[in-house]
Amino acid sequence: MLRSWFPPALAAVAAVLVCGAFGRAGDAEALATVRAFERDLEALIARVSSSVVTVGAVVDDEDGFPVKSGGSGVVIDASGYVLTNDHVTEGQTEAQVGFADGRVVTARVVARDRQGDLALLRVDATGLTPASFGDSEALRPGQRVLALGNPFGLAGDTHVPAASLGIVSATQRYLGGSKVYGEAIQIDAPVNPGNSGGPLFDLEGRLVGLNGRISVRGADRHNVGVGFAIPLHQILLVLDDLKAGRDVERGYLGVRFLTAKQGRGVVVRDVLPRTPASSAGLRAGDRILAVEGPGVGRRAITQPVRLQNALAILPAGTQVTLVLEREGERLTVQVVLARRPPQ
Amino acid sequence: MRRARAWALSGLVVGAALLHSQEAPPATPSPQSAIAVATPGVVRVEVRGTRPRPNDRWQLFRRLRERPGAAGCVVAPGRVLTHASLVRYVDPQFTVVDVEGTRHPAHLLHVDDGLELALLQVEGHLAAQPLRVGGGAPRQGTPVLALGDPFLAARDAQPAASSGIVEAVLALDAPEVAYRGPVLLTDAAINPGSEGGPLIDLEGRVLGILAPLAEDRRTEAYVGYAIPISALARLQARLGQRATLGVVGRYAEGALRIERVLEGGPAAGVLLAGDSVLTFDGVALESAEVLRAELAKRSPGAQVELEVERGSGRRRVTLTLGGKP
Repeated sequence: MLRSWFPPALAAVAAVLVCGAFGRAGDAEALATVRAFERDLEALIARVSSSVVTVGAVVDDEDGFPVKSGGSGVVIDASGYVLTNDHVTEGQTEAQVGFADGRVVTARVVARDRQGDLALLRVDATGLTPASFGDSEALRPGQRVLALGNPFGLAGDTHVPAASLGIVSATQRYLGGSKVYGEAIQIDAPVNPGNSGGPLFDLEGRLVGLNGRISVRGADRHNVGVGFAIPLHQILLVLDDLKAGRDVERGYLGVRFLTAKQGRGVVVRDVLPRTPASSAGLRAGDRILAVEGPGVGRRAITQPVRLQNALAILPAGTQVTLVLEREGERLTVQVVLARRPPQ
Repeated sequence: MRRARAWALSGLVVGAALLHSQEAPPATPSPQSAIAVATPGVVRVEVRGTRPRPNDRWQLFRRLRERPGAAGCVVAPGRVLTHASLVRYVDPQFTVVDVEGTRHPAHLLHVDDGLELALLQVEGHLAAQPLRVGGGAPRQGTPVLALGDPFLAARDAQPAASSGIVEAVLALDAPEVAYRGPVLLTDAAINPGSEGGPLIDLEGRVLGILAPLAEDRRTEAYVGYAIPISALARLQARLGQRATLGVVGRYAEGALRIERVLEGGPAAGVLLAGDSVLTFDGVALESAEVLRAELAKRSPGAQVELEVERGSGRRRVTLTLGGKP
């Protein structure tokens, strides 16, 4: 759809960017290009909006009064599966899901990935439009992305999502805490409280992530252009489990690393007792060069954060292969990741 | 209103260019290609220092920052340009981290409060590729990208990019802004940790150096801006004219304790690591500011007398200041 205007638009875009301005002769052509893009963007937003929902869980506040949490979600399957953030469902077993066509239905929480901040809901409704899946591992800084959701609960009773356009600011971000975001996508498209659980789309309208977290300045929890999305490739690693109703936990190895760079790989500083690392016979001084696991292929470990990321996107129970160097010898070790201890 | 429209236009053309780049070789400038070009020249600058003094003009910036650090631009081999707010620590100790995550010690070559810029010299080999500087005068509406590490979220020193336009080229009326002359006002997201990073165009060329957010006196709104990169030439000109001592140290108990004597510098063979310099032509060296002010009063080649404590003894030494005469 977006590509339909390419041939005439190409020349105009090139002309505008080479001239560097909307000056003089290129003006009309540049405006035509922009308007064509706008029309396509409008169509794109209209198309993807039908798979975006508002999500509200009813919880009791500290005084015992019921309050509704505000969040967003995305339909990923015509049979009624909806993805959102775990922190949106607030530990409840049900949530209200509102569609852009005005329907509101009660959804059941099928399963959670508490530390990974994912919850899978199921609604009993027909005529759903699931989002198509994109390739979140192929995202590059600078690529335009579209965030949809329900910022500040502004959708109200209409349940029509708001869209914001931005770029991928960075990939491979790691954010720790009680919720762990690995290989997260950093975006400058404004996302705000209420956007949580909403989809991040590429310009083809394909789902690439779930907006879940923002960095804020001071006490005001509003957007400053630094948002983080859980990458779709991480979600796909646990989706079958979630659909089967199995809660998921993040994986854990049980080693501490030297933070300073020491040539290739990442050096184990110490191995914590009674952890997968100790069971697998990892030792202090081992240099981990790569991690291989189902669904993630082989990830070369060049910096501690790469390993942190690889472990963060893999669920507990995953068997991974560590490629490591010990006393000049290269060896591979199989490790089954355990549950990450709560923080 | 006009601003909003300008943003929309440039943003959408940028978007269009991106779509184009998926179809054809990346000959057309795009955010993706600009970021790829510039990222290797962006470094993280970490600062360790004692608590800054209250009531100075970077107070706001410091209050916002949780731990010291920001971005820097490699402008020549081994030379990192950053924002002056970063060196407003007492006894700053600098570490430059390149995008590969390699850490390098660095020392301050020159700081210019009026230009809001500081130039650091990396000790040892910094593999980072210098950024392309300048080229084309930024105008209102020029699409730009801000590279830095907002909130220091990166664990691997990979900068983040935010996109926007040059909203205006104007002199800001804000208490935090010391730079006199037009600055590049931008709507690209700027946050603590962005300062010192480059504002680049879609060719990946540096147009300006990002500053901490400043509070506009009239609207009381926080605005993001960059010092025009043309200030770099002025900084370098001043750097060339200034007298130097050629030591790295920290200030303790009213004296400058020497940690390193720069090789081939004016202090080589005169001062030793471990020396404490008590006075500089009779003036007590209590802080970096005192030394900077004294050096500013003198020319390269001038002779100064230092009172030095070495071991348990005290001595007076005469030293010829460095710099280009």
